[in-house]
This record gives sequence, structure tokens and C-alpha cells, in this order.
Amino acid sequence: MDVDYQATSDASLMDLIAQKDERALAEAFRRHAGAVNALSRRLLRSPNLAEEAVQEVFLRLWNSPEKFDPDRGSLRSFVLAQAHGRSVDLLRSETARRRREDADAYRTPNEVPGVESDVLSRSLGETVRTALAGLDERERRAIELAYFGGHTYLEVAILLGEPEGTVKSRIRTGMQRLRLLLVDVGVDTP
Amino acid sequence: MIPLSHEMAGDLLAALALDAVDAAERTALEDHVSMCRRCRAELSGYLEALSALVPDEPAPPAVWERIEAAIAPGGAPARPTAPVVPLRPTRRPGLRAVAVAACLAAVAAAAGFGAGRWWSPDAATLEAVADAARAETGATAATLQSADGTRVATVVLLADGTGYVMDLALPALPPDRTYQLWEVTQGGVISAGVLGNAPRVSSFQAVANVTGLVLTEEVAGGVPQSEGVVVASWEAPSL
Repeated sequence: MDVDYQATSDASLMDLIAQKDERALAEAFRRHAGAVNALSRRLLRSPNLAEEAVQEVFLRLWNSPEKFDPDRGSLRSFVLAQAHGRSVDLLRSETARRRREDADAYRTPNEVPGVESDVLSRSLGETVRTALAGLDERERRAIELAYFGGHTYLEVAILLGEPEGTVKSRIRTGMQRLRLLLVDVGVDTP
Repeated sequence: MIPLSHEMAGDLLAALALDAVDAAERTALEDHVSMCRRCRAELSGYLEALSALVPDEPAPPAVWERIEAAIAPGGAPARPTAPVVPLRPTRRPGLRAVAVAACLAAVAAAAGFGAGRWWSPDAATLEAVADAARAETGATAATLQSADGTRVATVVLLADGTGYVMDLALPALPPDRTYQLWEVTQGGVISAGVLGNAPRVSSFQAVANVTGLVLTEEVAGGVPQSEGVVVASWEAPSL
């Protein structure tokens, strides 16, 4: 039976990938690799390293499809979380850390670019930009530094000159608010 | 490790979604989340929200070509193209990237290497070519040894940068594992290639200033940064 891959849900694609259907992996790649690449490139600041991360994420999807659990979220959030974790591991490695610190030395914490000033945000949909704009500025910056800068909450606290408990709390309330704001603008976040 | 209370886990779930926790916190949180349906749902919600912040863009076609090559039955393993990614230092404390180039590095530097590329003839042909390479003028040989000094493989490097891994004395790995070869340079550690789970012989393209080689066991398909154990290594002698 012919499979219409473009009309197949992500969950069904994963079933096909588990059966080693290469075209299903190609379709999953077509749908999500661009976002994985964008996130990895933003974190790693290197197109080559970002492509490595994309390759690794999708090869892992092929080799270990059982690690994706549809009850725990969408395929998109799964591959992005995989790419984010991998990129952060790379960032926190010794060599990369030194490289990044050199780059960071040119800016003070107050000059750390935010999502709204970043090229990434320009390609976000209007609805997501609207949701981001609804966040408290301090919450938004803490989330940006952690998610797009690859920093731990302790590092974020140092960068922002604030107590770690405060930053931890801002991250939590900010993420809770972000979820609600996205729902308000019609982006589904279960 | 002391298990996290639900309240303590709840305080850090958003940070976990952002990968903004340290390794110990991550382990404790993941333990808790695996047992707590409510925290699992909260974490999923955060991850979905974050995924909305990442824009769509066209998928990189060159990456798909490499993936396709890696998963094709009998196809060539995909060679990562990005350059320097460090091995985690704790995995191989004994191996240092020596500053002085040895003969291998000298050969590599003289060649002026471009991007690496895998060449994938059948194994018998490659074995014959690799054997012949030993006798070529300017060929340099290195022995990869395990920690106890057992010879595990021979690497021959030619003046044009082509390298061959041969005489492999390695146990076959399960299908979800692979051997991966790394080049140690002064700038870091570079993947030289993914050898498969039961390699007989492989070729690779070396980069300049190689001061060592490391063979590791990794997840099938290979990784940009080593996560596995060091199986064998070779270090260029200091001058």
C-alpha cells in the first residue's frame, strides 16, 4: 500500500521509522530539521556544528525511535529538546566554553541580545512575538539567556547580577506565563 | 542521591526544560519526572512552549544526504563535516594533545588538506588498496593500542592525507553501537570517521597537525563529540 507521507501524522511517521522506513525519516526531517538547525545554530554560533547536531538528532531518531514517547509531547518538541541538550553539552565543554567566553567578553550583561533584537525573532510568527511581548522583561531575559544562550540558571544569575533564587523563580513564572500567553494567541502548548 | 520532593522538583522543572540545570540536578529531576505524572505533564508543556519560539526554516539538504548515506543498507557511513569538537577530558586523561608535530603531523601539514570525504569501495578492494599503501613512499604507520598495550589497529597515512585504518583486532559491537576514529590536533579533537560495528578496514582524510588518534565506541551513526569509552589510542612521539 502506498503511503502518503506528507499527509501522515508525526506519530505515524515514528511508527514507520521504527520499521526502518527511510521515506518516513525523510519526511520527519523535511518537517523539523529546519527548526532543529535554527536552534542549534543559534546556540552553537556555527553552521557546521549546527549541521552536526541536526545529523545526530535524526540519526538517533532512526537508531532509537522508541525514545520518542508521543504521550510526552510532540515530535517537534522532542527533536528540539534533543538538539538543545546536545548543543548545550557542546557549549559547556571546556574548549567551547573558552571560545564563548572570549566572545562574551565584548559585551556586558545588559547588552546581551534578546530574542526580540535577534535575527531569530524576525522569523518568528506574529503570534509568538505577541506572546513574548507579554512576558515581564526580567523573566524574558532570564529565559532567553538560558534557552538561547545555553546558560545554567546560576550563570544567568551572575550575568544579570541577581540572586539565584530570584532567577530560578523568574524562569519558572516566566515559563508558566509563556505557556498561557501562547495559548491565548492560539499556539497549542498542552 | 537524595530524591527531590515534589515541591523542589517543581521549582526546577522550567529550568530543566531550558537545560539550565547542572548535571546532578538533571539526574535528580529526571528521576523524579519518571515517577511523577504531574511533573511530566508540566515539563511537556514547557517544552512545547519553547518549541514555538524556534522558527521554521528549510531543512538543510546536505545534512539529509549524509544521513541518507549513513542509513542506507551497506552504504557509506556519514562523515561529520564540522571540525573541532573536544572529547570530554575525563574520558581519556592520559592522552594529551602534544604541541610538537610528529612525523604524522608533518605529513599532514605538507598535504594541505581540504574537507574530509569518505571513500567506500567494497572491503576487499579497500583492504588491497590499504595494504599497498603501506609500501608507498612517504607513508607513515601508527599503531593504535588499548590501555593495556594490546595492538588494536594499524593506521597508515599517505602524503596526500589519505589515511587507512587496518589490521583491526576488535570485537563486533551490537548493531546500535559503532567504532569511531578521532584525530587529536592542537585545536581540539576531530571526528575522522565512523567505522561501523564490525570494521575490517576503513579510509579517511586527515587534517593538518594531527598529534594523536583515538578510537572510541559510540552510538551507531557516530557522534560529533565523544560520549563513549576509549578503545585504543596512538600519540605522536614528542620531539
